[in-house]
Amino acid sequence: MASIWVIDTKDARTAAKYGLFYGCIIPNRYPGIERSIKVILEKLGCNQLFSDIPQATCCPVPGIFYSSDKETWLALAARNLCIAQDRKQELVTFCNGCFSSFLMATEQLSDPKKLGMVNRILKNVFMKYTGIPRVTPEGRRVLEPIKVRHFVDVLYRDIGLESIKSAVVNPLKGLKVAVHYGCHYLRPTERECIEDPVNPIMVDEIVASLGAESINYENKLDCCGAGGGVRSYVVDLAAAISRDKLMNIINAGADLIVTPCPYCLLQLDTVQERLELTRIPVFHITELIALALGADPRRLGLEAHVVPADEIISKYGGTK
Amino acid sequence: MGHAKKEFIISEKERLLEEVPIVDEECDRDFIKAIIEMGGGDVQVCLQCGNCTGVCPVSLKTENKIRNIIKMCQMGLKEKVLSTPWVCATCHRCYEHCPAGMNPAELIVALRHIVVRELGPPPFVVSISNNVANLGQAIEISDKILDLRKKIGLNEKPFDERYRSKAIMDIRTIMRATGYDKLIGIDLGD
Amino acid sequence: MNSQTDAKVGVFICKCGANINSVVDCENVRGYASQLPGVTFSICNDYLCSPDGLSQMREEIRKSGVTSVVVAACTPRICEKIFRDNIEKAGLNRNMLHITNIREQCSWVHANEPFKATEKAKNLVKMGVSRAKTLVPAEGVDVELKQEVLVIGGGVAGVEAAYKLAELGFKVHLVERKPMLGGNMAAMFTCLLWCHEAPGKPQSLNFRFGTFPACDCSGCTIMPKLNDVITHPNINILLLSEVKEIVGHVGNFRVKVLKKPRYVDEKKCVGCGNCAVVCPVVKKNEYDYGLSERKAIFMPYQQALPRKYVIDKEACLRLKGQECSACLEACEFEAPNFEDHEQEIDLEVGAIIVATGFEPYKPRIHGYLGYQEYDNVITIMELERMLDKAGPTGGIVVRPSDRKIPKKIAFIQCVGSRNRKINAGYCSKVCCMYTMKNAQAIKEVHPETDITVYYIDIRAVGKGVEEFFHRTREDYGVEYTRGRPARIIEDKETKNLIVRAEETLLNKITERMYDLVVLSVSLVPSEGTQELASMLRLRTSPDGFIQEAHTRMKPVETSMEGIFVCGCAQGPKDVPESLAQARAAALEVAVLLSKKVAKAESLNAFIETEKCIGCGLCIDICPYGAPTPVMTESGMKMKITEALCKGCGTCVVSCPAKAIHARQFTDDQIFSEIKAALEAE
Repeated sequence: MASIWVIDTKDARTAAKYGLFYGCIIPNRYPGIERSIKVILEKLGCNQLFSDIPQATCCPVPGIFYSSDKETWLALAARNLCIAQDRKQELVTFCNGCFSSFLMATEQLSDPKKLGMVNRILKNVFMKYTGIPRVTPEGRRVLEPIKVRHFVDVLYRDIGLESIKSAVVNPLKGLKVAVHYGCHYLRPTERECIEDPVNPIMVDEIVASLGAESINYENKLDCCGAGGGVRSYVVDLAAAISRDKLMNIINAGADLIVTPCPYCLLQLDTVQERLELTRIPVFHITELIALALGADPRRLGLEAHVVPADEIISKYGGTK
Repeated sequence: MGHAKKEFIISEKERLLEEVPIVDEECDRDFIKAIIEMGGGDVQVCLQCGNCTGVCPVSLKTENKIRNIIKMCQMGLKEKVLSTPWVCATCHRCYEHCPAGMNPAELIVALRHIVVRELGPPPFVVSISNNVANLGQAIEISDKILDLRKKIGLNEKPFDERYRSKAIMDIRTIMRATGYDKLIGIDLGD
Repeated sequence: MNSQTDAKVGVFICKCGANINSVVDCENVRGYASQLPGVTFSICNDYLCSPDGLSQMREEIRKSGVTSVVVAACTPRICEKIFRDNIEKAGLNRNMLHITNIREQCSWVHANEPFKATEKAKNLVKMGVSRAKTLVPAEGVDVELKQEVLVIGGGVAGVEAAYKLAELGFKVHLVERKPMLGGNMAAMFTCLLWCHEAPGKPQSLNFRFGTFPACDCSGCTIMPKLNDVITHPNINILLLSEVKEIVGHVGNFRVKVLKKPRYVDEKKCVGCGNCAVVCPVVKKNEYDYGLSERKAIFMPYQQALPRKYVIDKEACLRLKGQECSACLEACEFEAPNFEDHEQEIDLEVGAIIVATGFEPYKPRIHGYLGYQEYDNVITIMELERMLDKAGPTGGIVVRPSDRKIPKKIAFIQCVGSRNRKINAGYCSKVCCMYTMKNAQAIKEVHPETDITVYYIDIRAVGKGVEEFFHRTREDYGVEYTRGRPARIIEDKETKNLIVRAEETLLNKITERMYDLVVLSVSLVPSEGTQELASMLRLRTSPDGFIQEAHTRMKPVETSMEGIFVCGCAQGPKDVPESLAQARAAALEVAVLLSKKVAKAESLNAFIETEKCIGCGLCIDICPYGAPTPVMTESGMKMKITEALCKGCGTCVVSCPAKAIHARQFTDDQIFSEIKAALEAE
């Protein structure tokens, strides 16, 4: 069954290896992240490797769809995967939720039973998930599942810390950063993890390569409290969990929280309105990188954050 | 003496628990099968060691200890389990620690499936599903963010209008095909 | 085979009490069987394997003059040998027997359908009769049995087995990887001197804590045994040695042992320790789990037996090519020998006992429990070494971070056991008890210590063990809290540890602070067990321990005839159990070897030499190493050593020339069964 997007792949930048999947929160709540992603790719000189996926929709959000109907969740996720499949791209996500949702979906689609079920549904929208045909070094023709990547993983493993380090123009010397990884970064699925879920290092090392100091704090790998529908259902409960997290971070003397997930960011940022604690700004990892790479802080959309980061901006945001 | 005794009984009475013993009628042994059908895994493997509760961010803050939920499933206390609130961050910490190799987070997901089918979906599921069906995205954009996007030099609309209507059509078709619209009770028009 | 036409078959049906008869209508089957062509008689018996049943069987065979016998009973794994011996006594060749399984494969699995089960039993008997008619007599081969034994592993089980066999007059080769004997039990030496030192307390007090539940010092109990073994004329001890290769079969195993150099002449060294005093190299002592330091020439621990020093090749300056002969100069007896070299020793033995034991599980480094991340998280073996009066801390438990005596100690149970995630779903059996023992030992020295034990279930089974558990709680005041700890967090300043767990009986999450956390780690197969098992062609259970031949009936036998297993190599167990098994294994070896000559069962494969094309596929595929190539006039041909062959049939099906046949499982015989099964009534 020919896909309706075939026309697109011709005019789209098919040379791009990666398709950028922003998800829902980044464009609709923190557009600054979207902006900083573009800045980073430009400053690192690798923007021709990346392209937007204009047809992409909600991943869909696992806390709602995976929890209420796995079939619908898998079909909707497979629809997005089909788009990446037609574009022959790796799907790069910036959100732990999208990352986990897609990774889980590719894993489940390796089950022929589920694949058949999903393809029967996708037939209605003229799509079919097969995976991307490739030829192995031994010359065998195989269908490879869509590669789902977290942007942190792409930065660390594909682009490399050295390239980031050499592109830094505003070294964040003396900035104490508390890294919050988030659960679905550490444990996206039952089978796959990007790195050791007990001792993750990639975000810490990226932060360090920007010149900042990633500080250790108690229960660093704990949950922000928002995921799985908790924030939507019992907002107080999510706040109570976040409070513990924030307390540990404040006690460790951090200036800033950095996370690779916009949903954790949303929770840790907005929850501070409700809590009587010292306020501490929360950044997405891309925002911090953009800042260090010399992005204009006035055009990073930091106004969208509940907790202002004026102090950090005035200290490190040397305008270019 | 008699007076004091009487008072003791009255004052204690208010503090007495209303609880009654759990009886056989409440235990639905087929519930375990229903959970397995929904992909929740075998709850019988649980040793009740409590490791999951110890790592669970929600168990610390509420009365719903995850270990208790598993125990209730083992006993088949369906009504009690289904009436516990929909609170699990699906952080999978429990799965990571579980020595029995069980995945309590998947159990919760299966229980949610049962709740949605038997008691109806909670309101936020309906509203977010509606968003996805109408906007293609889970959250609605505010005017403030629209302005901000323009200011920082991004496309004003996050979702390119050229692709949006087709994408939404796809989503609705998929939802109709899986019966999601009926399950959640959202109106997709025709 | 013309025997088919004039074969006379006798059918014996065992009711096995109610085991078979309650489902399968045995009388019905008997009636059916007696009608079958070629069947001379058909008889039911309540318990065919009982003396009465067996004598009836012999009588009937003699009386009727049948040529072959069908026994419809339980699995051949249990009673085959008994029945074969029995028909031999009755004058038939032992091969003229076919066993039809109507218990495990019929009555037990079809307990709910007695009618169908009876029909199935009839069919099975019919197939058996058809097969029995094709049986041909065969003689087993005689195997001479070497009167020497190899014991692999010098722990308490291996030492015990070696000693008992040596006492019975067998020559025993005891191979041990480490420089000393005694294994893990000797490492838990403990408190030998406390017996004499307890100030103001009578000596009879519970002041010896080597093993549970009697709490007697493991050193006091194992030392005399080790001494006996070391001095025994029939025992050849090979320390620092590993088995490299084993070929052969029951009665005649040829073994290659690699003996690593000790660099100290065992005959000259008296264990005075003058050498270690002058040795300039200092290293962490791995035998004390890094709690103490040692020299390049050292003794693993003070009471190691035999009391001979050993030079660490990696650490010794001289062996690394530098100028140093400090130890040699200090030694009156000129024991250090830098020219010592690796030796290969060839042995020929009749039987092998595997007693490779266990090693403590190594917890995940930097895992949730913070092992080797936080100073004050230790495992039980480190604690055992600390509790040793002659050990690194002189019998006092201290915090590794500051060497202070801990006031609050937590024990965490089931570390590495009952965990299906790491493929260790089994219960390690002894951890509950060694924790009790160590908690009591700590309380004896420092009664004010607060001890909490985090457990999932307490498994205090066995004689006197439940009482031991009661004493731990009641007399010593150890607190037990039910819940598997979720994580441990270190207080950076004090190095105290916060243990977070659910107290499952209270439904509350607790976070309690301790000075020291002890992980009660499980017992896992010692390193190299898997390699040894594949070298010996032994099966291992999913958890990696060596699998015995039959869980109930053959507890120390293995899948290979002539190879036995005992102690923790077979699974976690305590000292008395290890000893019992060691003695059982020694007895089995003695029973086997004392016959001097054994007859191998004639259930084996043979090669039609004319058909053999010499491809050698059977050599690759045989799990027992039975086929060997031989040069003949017509080129390379294969030959099967009958004593090695187990009759598994793997080579039979793999032979491209169809040259290999299995005795008693020839194509004709199997087809006759299939034909009978498919035949219309």
